Amino acid sequence: MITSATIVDAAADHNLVPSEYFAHFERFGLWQLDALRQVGLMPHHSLLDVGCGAMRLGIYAVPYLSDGLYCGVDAFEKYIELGEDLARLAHLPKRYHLLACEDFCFERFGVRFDFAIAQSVFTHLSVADTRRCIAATKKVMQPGARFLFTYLVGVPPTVGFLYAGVKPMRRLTIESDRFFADIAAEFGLTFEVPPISHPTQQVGLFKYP
Amino acid sequence: MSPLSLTDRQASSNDAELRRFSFEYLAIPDEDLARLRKELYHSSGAGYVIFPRFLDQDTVRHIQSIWPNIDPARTHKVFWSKLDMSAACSDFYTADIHGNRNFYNFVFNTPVDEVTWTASIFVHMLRNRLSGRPPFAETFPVSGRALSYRVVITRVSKSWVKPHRDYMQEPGSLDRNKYDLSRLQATLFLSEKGHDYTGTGLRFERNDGRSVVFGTDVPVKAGDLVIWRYNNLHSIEEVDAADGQLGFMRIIYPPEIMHPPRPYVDQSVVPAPPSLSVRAKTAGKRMAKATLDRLGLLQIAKQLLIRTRGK
Repeated sequence: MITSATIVDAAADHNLVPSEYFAHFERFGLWQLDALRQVGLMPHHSLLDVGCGAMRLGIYAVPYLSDGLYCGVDAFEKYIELGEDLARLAHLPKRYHLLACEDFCFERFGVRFDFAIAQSVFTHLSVADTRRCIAATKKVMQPGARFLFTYLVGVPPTVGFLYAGVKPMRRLTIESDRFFADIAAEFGLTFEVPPISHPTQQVGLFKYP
Repeated sequence: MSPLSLTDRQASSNDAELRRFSFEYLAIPDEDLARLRKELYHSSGAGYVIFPRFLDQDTVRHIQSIWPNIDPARTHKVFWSKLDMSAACSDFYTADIHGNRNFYNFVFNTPVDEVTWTASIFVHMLRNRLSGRPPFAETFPVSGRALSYRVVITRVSKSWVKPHRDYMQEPGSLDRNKYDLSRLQATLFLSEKGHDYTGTGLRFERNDGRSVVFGTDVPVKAGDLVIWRYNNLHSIEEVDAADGQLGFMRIIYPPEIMHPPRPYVDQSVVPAPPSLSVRAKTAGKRMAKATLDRLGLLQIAKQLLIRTRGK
């Protein structure tokens, strides 16, 4: 569909280096689609991709979903521009929606979603921003919707970092996945650890009432 | 202009010229790097970028005067193994009878030469920014790797470094030590082919697969900095320097893995292990003995040996 050489070239065209994000583009894109299908995603469902990056999931999810049901949002505008390019190079057969936005503006899609995913997103957010993100999904998810996400437990020595060498970011610092159970209780959600393994992180699932 | 008035002007003006003392400006703006990154990483790019006259001639002459002339035994320890490289290690060196020298320096140690040290930190910062890392990533031994600024003087060599690719040991691996497409290496040239040495020197495979030799196919002079893709095939080939010539002198910048500290042992004062031929002979005897034992012929062979030797 789209080769790794094409991805590296497109990234270079957008002043982005072939970081591990691009080096493992297909692997993690396909992992996300497979994980979502394991928790029930079907072609007729609408999907919110939080931290969609350069459409790493979108490249594979758009052909799977029905027309126009993929919505991706990312705080890094360059990724959104690159995602548009990669979608064009991949000749995606269906429509999709992308948004560059830093403040969890999921409502701007005007869609009530059946599924959401945040792969390696909470690993780049503070505790407060993770809470804000989950609160924002509450407003746009359908009753019975599911939100799959990945996370890391522990307090690393470096809690703030420069993403791609330029963008200040925080790491989530939690002692256990009890953090997500507490947030679920606060927002009236259910938290589960699904039987899905991830190459480097842990996997969680919120269910909306 | 006094520093105070400059900061006052910065605070009150939108003039970009006056915003030089800002976090973003000092870190090299990302936008300035776009063209260079394309040259480095895009399949249509060369896989390297040259910064001509990165060092001016005075600085080059200064560095040229330091490293061939220091007594390394006073400033460095003999290099034996990369396992000796740790957050608490000294600088290391190798030297041979041909005059070839390697100085494995770390920025966290007291520098032999502040000029080399300062230039190296700037090179590393530029390389970091080009490869999308924070400006001072891997400068200090806090994140698994730390910068080594390795001063290399090659005077006589048939094949100093065989062709290889770095960070490509296991393509597809999630271990960034084994697979990392973003990695860049830098070579700060401190001598000039023809004037200081003859031969080939640094050979490099471009992104399009074409092989080029720096100093022959690609003109470079002492003081020029070349930053290049670490994944691309590269080697140091035949170099020859006559008496009175400097040799192929350059600085390279490998971020070295920092190992747990261990006691340093200077193996030049440790008794040498048996030579390869002695070890092969011993191993051959052991194997023959084991085979005969397995076949139940060991005792017969021993008796035969005693009889033939007359013991």
